Amino acid sequence: MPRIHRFLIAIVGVVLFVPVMPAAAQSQLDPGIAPSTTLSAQQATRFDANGNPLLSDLVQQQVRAQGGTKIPILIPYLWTRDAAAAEASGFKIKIVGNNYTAIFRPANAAEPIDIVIEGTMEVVKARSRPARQAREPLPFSSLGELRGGSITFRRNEASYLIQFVCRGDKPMEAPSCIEESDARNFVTYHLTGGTQ
Amino acid sequence: MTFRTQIEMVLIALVIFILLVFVGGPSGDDVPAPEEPPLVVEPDPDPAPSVGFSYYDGGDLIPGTGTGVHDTEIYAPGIVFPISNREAYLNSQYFNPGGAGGGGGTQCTAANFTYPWRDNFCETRWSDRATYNCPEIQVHRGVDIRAGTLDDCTTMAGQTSAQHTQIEIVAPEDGYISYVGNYSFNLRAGPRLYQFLHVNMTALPVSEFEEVEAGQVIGYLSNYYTAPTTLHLHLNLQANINEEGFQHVSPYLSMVKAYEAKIGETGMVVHD
Repeated sequence: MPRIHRFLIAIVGVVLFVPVMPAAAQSQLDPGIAPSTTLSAQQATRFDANGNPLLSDLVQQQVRAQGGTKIPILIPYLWTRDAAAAEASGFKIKIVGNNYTAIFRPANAAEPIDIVIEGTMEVVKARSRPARQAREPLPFSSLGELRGGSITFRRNEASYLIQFVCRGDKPMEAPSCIEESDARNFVTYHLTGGTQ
Repeated sequence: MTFRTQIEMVLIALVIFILLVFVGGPSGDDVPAPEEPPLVVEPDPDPAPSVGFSYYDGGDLIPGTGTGVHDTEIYAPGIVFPISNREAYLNSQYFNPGGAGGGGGTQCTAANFTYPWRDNFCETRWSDRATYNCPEIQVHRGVDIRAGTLDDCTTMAGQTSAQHTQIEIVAPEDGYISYVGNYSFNLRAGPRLYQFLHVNMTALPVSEFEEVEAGQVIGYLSNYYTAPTTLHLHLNLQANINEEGFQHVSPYLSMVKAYEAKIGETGMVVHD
């Protein structure tokens, strides 16, 4: 089983007291979260973060403090739905204008890992053209000077960068704490699921 | 002594006098000159730029170290140069002296602390690292910046990373510290994300999510890493480019412009 699923499941297990199961199936089988509710939470973040009752109070406070924001705030709902979940996932968020950063430091990961989500609706206009390397829908790249990886994508006129930073005290040559498939699954199941 | 003898002695003395005055004594060339004391040059603790700032054009890497990108775009215009209190030398920490791929020697050599600057964005590395427009994919996705004098280097090389507080790193623009990790921290400024590595992480003057202003001290240059590296700042710049999303782009020309503003001098482009 992918490592990221193991620690996600561990956190969800702590919060919900349910047996370990694949993360993608979690919301479908959890009696406390109806599938339609989870889906609507994801749909809501797609359109509007302002006053959305399915974003946690912590996020709502930040949004209100900024006088609202236009950027769809993509964050894992199960990790932020209440104070206990947020604490278990080490969640914190900062919103500035139409930009935000959310950080998760899940306590139960096999190796300590920081998941950093950067979102923006601001754009740097450039005349230069990209190198035409093969571009996948969710391009994964190693972090280079750090162990870990990242994925960048666009949704609904906003751009997102998800960085998975291994935090174990290991040499650079040690295996990464995140595999490409785990990173893609995280984004697919917990950030963009239900969005277009 | 007869009168004649006295005359002869006077004449001899006169001849000797004339020879000494008009012909000269023993040649100076034959006499070893007295040894002069060795010239002692005290290092200037805060030298002014002695030679004008110059730099190789963007994309002109050290020959044989990769394929650079000749990109004229300035992705972070108008920023503050990230090192405030020393001269800076942007060059390859990996292929220059003292680097793991360099031509021997130590990091504290004049070649590393001399203009011209040399771009090292897109230098060859060993794992897949996507960028916006480097021709290759296994590349260096930032720039390496040394700073200070050879004396600074020598002093700091003899210290632990935790003691490095001599060389200040400042925020290039207004923003907030968006992440603090074990070996790096990030500054978020709207659509741009700066990543700073090899900073003294034990003496960070800022904290996660703290808002900072351009020019504010946010760290100190060091060699901090899983194992100590050379003394330098590694700076990555990611920007949300056009319709491409967050991409690693070259900070090189942005650094050139910021440095020119810092020293009040226009750099001269040099060519191989």
